[in-house]
Amino acid sequence: MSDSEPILAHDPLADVAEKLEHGEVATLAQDNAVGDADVAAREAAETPAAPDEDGTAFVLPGQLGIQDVGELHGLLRDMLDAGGEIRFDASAVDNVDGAGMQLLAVFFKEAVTHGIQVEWRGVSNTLAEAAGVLGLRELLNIQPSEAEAR
Amino acid sequence: MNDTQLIGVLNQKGGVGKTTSTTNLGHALARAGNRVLVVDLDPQSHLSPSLGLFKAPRRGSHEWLLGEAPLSELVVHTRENLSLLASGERLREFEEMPGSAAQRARLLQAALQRGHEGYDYILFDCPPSSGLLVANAILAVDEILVPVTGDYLSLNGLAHLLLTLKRFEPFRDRPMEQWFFLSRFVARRRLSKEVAERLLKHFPERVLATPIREAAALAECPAAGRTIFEYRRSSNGAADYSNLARDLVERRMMA
Ligand SMILES: Nc1ncnc2c1ncn2[C@@H]1O[C@H](COP(=O)(O)OP(=O)(O)OP(=O)(O)O)[C@@H](O)[C@H]1O
Ligand SMILES: [Mg+2]
Repeated sequence: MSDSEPILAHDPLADVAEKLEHGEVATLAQDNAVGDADVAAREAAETPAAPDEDGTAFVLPGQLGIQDVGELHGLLRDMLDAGGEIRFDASAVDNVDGAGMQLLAVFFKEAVTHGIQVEWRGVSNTLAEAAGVLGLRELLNIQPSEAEAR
Repeated sequence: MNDTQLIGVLNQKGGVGKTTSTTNLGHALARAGNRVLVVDLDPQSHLSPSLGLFKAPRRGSHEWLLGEAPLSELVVHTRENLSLLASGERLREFEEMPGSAAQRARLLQAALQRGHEGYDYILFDCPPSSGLLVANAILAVDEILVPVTGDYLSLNGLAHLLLTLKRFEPFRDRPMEQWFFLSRFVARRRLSKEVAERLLKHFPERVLATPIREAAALAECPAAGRTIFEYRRSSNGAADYSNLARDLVERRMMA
């Protein structure tokens, strides 16, 4: 090998640059590498929160994830604007990620500032545990799940 | 400066100088008058001894991530302006914890939202893996700082890292700044020079101006439990890391 010939016969960065340019990199949402929760969250976007039959409590979707945040945020804002007392039914929430929890936390904080009372009609164990893990129990006014209390 | 700069020192390749750089860059920034916190996100727990704590604190980032204790209760003040959040004994259980991965990947973000006032810089020393701890860092930091050594496998590892970052992009709420620097650099080696050229070619204006040279004193520091500024104040290593700190603050890039 002559002195002027490069040692590097291959440039991995060039390969990546090409892939990125051609959009050939799967994001986590597409290939689900972080776990089932991402896909679950995406599916949940199709089932946004809705008032229950007698219109007294808002039923939160089974999967409260990052994909729902935009939609739910708008809905929650409307509810805040309507004022008064708000009830949530979260008994069907069986999957929640950090963004979903953040959304709830922001909502509760805003509710307090607006003098609005928020009540839970049902809280799933998943939500109760997530609130515990993230230290949001007090803010969200959520008790430990039965499993944790034992 | 009011805002805290959250910087992940990151490279999935092992042994490239992440811990050495977190330690010495952290101390360099502190010596320049910034309030600095260095956080060990690596269950190997190398940051504590590097700062002289040979008996590592039992609690640390694990407890912070899980919301079991506030940051103020867990940090150790090691030097003027330089605090440490150790990994904590239980951090090695983190990757195996039950629960949804998407949720656990955002624990650092949530922890930071609970408060981290008073620091100008928080540096996160990341493990050489692509697990959940790294995911937490990628989702929470403002910028990443990537040490790159002058060999082919390092470039290969960097390519892998870029793909990982791309995959997380849709989950971030703001763009991420990416800075690279040459670590353990041996200027007389042709391969080192070639790697440096490639890096510059692919990341113009993204490679910090100062290469950190390979230096025995830097490798000896952890054994002494001292930073390079305490161990050999007038060495190449000390000069390199204080210059690198200025590069980072003043955005001085390699031409
Ligand atoms: N510039 C340098 N000159 C000489 N030795 C160095 C230099 N930088 C780091 N080292 C040594 O190289 C080894 C690896 O460095 P370090 O632990 O900082 O890498 P790392 O990327 O944190 O590794 P890991 O991936 O295992 O966490 C250590 O023994 C360290 O002392
Ligand atoms: Mg390390």
